[in-house]
Amino acid sequence: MFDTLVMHDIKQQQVGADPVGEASKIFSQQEGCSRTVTSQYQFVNRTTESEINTKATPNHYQKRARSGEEHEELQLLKKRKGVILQENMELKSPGFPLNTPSHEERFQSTPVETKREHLKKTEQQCRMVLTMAQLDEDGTIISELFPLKDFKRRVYAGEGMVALVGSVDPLVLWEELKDIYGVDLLSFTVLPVNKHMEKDGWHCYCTKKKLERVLENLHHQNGLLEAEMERAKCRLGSNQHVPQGCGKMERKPDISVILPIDCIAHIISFTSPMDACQLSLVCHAFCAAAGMDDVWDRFLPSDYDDNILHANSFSSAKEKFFSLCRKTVFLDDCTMSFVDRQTGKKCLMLWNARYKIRGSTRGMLLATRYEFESKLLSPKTAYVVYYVFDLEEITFSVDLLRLELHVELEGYGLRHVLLEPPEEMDVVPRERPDGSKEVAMGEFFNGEDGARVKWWLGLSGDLRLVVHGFITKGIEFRPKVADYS
Amino acid sequence: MSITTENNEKMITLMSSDGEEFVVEEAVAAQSQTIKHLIEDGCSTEGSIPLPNVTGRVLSEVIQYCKKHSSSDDKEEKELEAWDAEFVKAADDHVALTDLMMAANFLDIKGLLDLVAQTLANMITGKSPEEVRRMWNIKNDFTPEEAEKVRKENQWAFE
Repeated sequence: MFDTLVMHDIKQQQVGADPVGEASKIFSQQEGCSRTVTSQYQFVNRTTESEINTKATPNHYQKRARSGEEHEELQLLKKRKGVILQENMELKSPGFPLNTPSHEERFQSTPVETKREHLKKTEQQCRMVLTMAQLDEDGTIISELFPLKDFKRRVYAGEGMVALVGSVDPLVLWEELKDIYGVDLLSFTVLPVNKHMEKDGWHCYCTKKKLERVLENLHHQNGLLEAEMERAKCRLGSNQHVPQGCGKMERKPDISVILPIDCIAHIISFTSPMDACQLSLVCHAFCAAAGMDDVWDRFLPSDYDDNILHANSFSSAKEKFFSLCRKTVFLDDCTMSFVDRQTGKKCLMLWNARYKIRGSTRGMLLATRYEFESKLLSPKTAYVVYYVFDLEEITFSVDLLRLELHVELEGYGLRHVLLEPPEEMDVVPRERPDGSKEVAMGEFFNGEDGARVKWWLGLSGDLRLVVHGFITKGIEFRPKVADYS
Repeated sequence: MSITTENNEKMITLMSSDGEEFVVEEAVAAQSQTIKHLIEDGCSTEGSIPLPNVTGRVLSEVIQYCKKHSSSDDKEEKELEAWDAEFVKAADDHVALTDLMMAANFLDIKGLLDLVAQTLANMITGKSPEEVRRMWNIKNDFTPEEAEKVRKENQWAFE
């Protein structure tokens, strides 16, 4: 047995135009019934005349229900009626005015006899229409239930909707309805609105077996039901104020409880090293999952060489990963490979010692070419190409010099022509951790095949300009860090 | 239950936790390593294969996925990718995706597991812990001291 939301749908044949007026009608017709969710319970559970007492406010009733003498009787009632009052239930909703004077006044002024009649009637009504309903996002009932519609139409005069919350066991209820009305088929709809439900036919004529099945599906979506219920309560209390966060997205089952830890780890392994570290802070389950070797093995470049780390032993793949990130590997005399710790992607720093320029660049063109296999970079990754340089004496503006960089992937033709920073573009070299400067030249996407990346860097410019102390350090290929903003 | 159809395709009956039965071609069912092993072990020769961890609703979706992926060749990769994208989109929210993920995990269908994991991962990539908690309704069960410790261990990621 579990908590579920049962909608008590009170429909009126004639729909009033004025919301306030409608509300009054309900209150006058239903009396205490529509005042609060508690009182609704009261009526559903109430069977003895002695309990019908004008002074029995919801709180009073609750207190009594909790006390020992009442408890047994209540249990019996529960069994018989198939409706359970959940005693520790939170009954007050911020948006639901429990004690607005008008309600109170009306309540006080109703003669006892009338009230009794109402209560008796209400009890009957509740039993007839206790049912599950489907709400849309605004809390409006989309679905109307069932073959019992006729009964409902006949009995109900009020307009509005009362949500019953608590441990109403729908199976018991089903049996009860069957007993009362002799219906074998009960069309019902379950909360919440969910595409699956729609696809599966959320609205269906059901046998008991089917009902059991749907309820099972419903079981873990309970959180959602409660959110819908809150919303419904709020709607009842006030047509204007639906507290924020009462939406159907609000109360979903805790994924960290439902999912096995290796599933969480699997999800995290599809993020990035940086995300994995941040996600550790979500909860214990995420923390444990984010530290698992499966995750960090995936972050390690697929073709990394164990020898790089000199067969050091590591206690975890995470440790190994960060150790790898601290290493730089010289592939040849002008290619350096390293792993970016934010993304776990391979990076390259390329330079050509022959073209290192010192001193004056007057009348001199720098041109350097290089090619490498694209597998030196991580597949399916967008890279940004940086031009790294040092300035020894003067400051300078890159666009005075016009840098040109071509990166070409074999078989793809010219993949991306980079550079020649337009004048209007603000290309400001930025400082690197090592003290030199770099400027982003452009980006390209590295596919999966073993193409060769050719690049060509040309430096030309106003030859009258003399630039001293300008040192090209190289070209660096680093993964583009996704813009998450 | 092994039934053979006209074109000699062996059929397998799968039974969900809620007693719903699905008759599928063996090739479709064998996308699931779990079922494949069960078939190999001869579990399918009599009666249906019970899948106690998967409800009928989820199983029907899983079968939908398996059917698509067993009938497509590699050359239709692009189309398949688009179909996958639609498939997870239809799952609507992370709760439905979670169900799917647990089924894929239990049935050991790597393609589906990766697809769902990637989809869920995309939801949380670049999000702060607080945002992730709010989005997936996760309770923060760290004490302030514990949280500080975890933060320190991963300091660089928060800088």
